[in-house]
Amino acid sequence: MALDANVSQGVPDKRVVVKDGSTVSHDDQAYRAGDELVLPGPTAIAMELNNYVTILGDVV
Amino acid sequence: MIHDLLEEVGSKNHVQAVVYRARAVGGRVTHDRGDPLDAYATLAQAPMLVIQDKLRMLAGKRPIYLPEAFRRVGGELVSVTPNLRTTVGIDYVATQLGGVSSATPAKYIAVSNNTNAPAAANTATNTTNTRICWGTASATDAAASTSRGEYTALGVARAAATYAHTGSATSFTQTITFTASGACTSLQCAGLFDNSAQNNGTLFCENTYTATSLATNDQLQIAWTLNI
Repeated sequence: MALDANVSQGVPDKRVVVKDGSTVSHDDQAYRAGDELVLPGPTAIAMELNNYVTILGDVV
Repeated sequence: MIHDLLEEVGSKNHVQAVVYRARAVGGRVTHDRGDPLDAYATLAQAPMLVIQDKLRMLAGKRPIYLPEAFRRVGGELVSVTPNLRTTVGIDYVATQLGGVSSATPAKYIAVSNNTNAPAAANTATNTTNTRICWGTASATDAAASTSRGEYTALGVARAAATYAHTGSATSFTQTITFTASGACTSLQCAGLFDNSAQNNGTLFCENTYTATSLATNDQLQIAWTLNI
């Protein structure tokens, strides 16, 4: 049980794919392994560090 | 971008077996040389950075891998702090699992610059200035104090987080990114609620982090890890 706070600026949104075995819910949509979605950049980075998603690239 | 960090952490957590092959050279037996570290280096996965830093912090040392990983992607790790589940949050879990569950999960994150410590007795409607005042709306920025409430504007108003869970893992995360639309002074606490509106719902957990001021367009990312 922990809270991780991180400050940044100008990190673009990122296109990600949900990793095997993981589920993600974003904007009231459920995503399963292999599904692609767009997340705010810092959120995507944190979720990649937690091994939930793979970042495919920036969304310009 | 963080390959060397993963390699360094990977080198701390594996069993390494190296064989030096014998070969005959001019009637004498010699052994191949080489750099076994280069030849057998292993690479950790990104979550190992988190785990390694947790072990460091449990040993009283400062985290080093996670802050560096965030720095390289343009961020700055503000803090990692243990959680506090409120009394009403405990009751909320019991109701969700065994009673009549509410329609919405606890997925809404709010922030404040109230200077009180987290308290198990706190609630979503509290306005008493001995606890974090989630029942008070703060629509404009001001100095941090014991009476400050929940930010309801400036890009940091309560909003739904992104939920993630890996099968069989005994934890899940709620992660959100706020982008400030104006100055926010000394943000230092966060609450996790089951309702999208300020002064409503159940305060499931609350927590504090190192006070951080935001300028316009600064992004504050909060990742809440909850063990189950």
